[in-house]
Amino acid sequence: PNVKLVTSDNEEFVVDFRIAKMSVTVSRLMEAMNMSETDDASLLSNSIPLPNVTKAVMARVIEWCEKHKNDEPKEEKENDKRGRTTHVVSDWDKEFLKNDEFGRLCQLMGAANYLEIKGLFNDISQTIANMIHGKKSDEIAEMFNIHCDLTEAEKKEIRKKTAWCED
Amino acid sequence: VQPEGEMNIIETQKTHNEVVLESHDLANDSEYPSWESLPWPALDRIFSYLRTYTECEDLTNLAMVSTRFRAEVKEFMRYSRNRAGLYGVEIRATNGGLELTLELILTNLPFYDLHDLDWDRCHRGGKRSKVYDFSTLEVTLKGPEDPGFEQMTVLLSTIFCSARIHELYGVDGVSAAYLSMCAQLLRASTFYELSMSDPHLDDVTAPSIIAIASRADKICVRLAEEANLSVAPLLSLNWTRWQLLPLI
Repeated sequence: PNVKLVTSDNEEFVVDFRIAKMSVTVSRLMEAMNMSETDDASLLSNSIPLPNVTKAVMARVIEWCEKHKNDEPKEEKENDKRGRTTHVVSDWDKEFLKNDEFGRLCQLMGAANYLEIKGLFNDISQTIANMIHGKKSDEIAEMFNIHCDLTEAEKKEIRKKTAWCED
Repeated sequence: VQPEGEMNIIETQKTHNEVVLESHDLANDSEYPSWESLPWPALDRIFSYLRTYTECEDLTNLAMVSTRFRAEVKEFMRYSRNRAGLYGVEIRATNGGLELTLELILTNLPFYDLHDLDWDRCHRGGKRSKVYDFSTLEVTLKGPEDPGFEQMTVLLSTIFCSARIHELYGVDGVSAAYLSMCAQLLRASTFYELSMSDPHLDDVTAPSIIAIASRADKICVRLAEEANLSVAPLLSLNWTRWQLLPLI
């Protein structure tokens, strides 16, 4: 069975029921609209509006879901001895995200958050963390397209507070 | 039946729109998405993953990007502390000979996770690649829910002082570390309870520590000056007070 998803720019995507169910948001909406896998009529007569997701982003989301639709539910190793959360981005996912500039990752992240697709959400979070890691503040600012509004005095204060952890 | 079905859809869309209103507007392709467009759960998760690198420089760099970033970092830390509850610190000096391993586990302080911290990183302006021969020492401190930066500075300076005592005055490693810890803990004894358990500490008895400590008050004052610590608390120390602490 297929489900119709309609993006903010009125593009209709017809996806497999299993893929639609990968989104908690879509899943809830289908439930609210009495759309059932065994009820073709309900699927045919309804479509799910997704006004927070554009066509371009939706296509990327579906591509990711297609790849992962048969995945077993994966538990994150949270709260290890040091209270860390670990997440391993698979090779396929790295390849999938590697050419996305930060702006596109933000859009995809926003969609993953809105659609509540945990696996994609975590993949992008880890990818952005990887991008941030080890970069100086000006490099981060450039990557995020942010103008630094801190005064020299404020920067000095931050450096002072964290001086112990710098080489 | 049909009108009821239509009603369902209308109600669902209304509910859905309410959700949309609460979320960030990411639908506008004409604007370049930025950090500001990321929803809070995303920031939270990104920070969590950054912790896995154990590089506290990431915190400094993030905080210095902009006012907004600094606020985000502060908020994240506040949130994490509140969420986390107690923190724990474990200092372990192994008898590896060539390498001093001081493991600090600040369990729930993002970015201040100093696993594998080595001497170089807390030794400000000192020599590098020093060799310390510490016997096994394991100390666990448990602090209040919100220990704050000051407490951690105390702990770092503890390491600083212990290594300096060892380096400058030839006190054996365990005693130096222990002595320094006593000094620092006396400063903070109001807040901490100290528990200590290690069979290798059997020969480091209370009298021997006191004996060292009683000779060491001037040393600690000097060390405090070198480490840019406040000297006043150390000057006011009464070394025998540590006997009152539930140490062993």
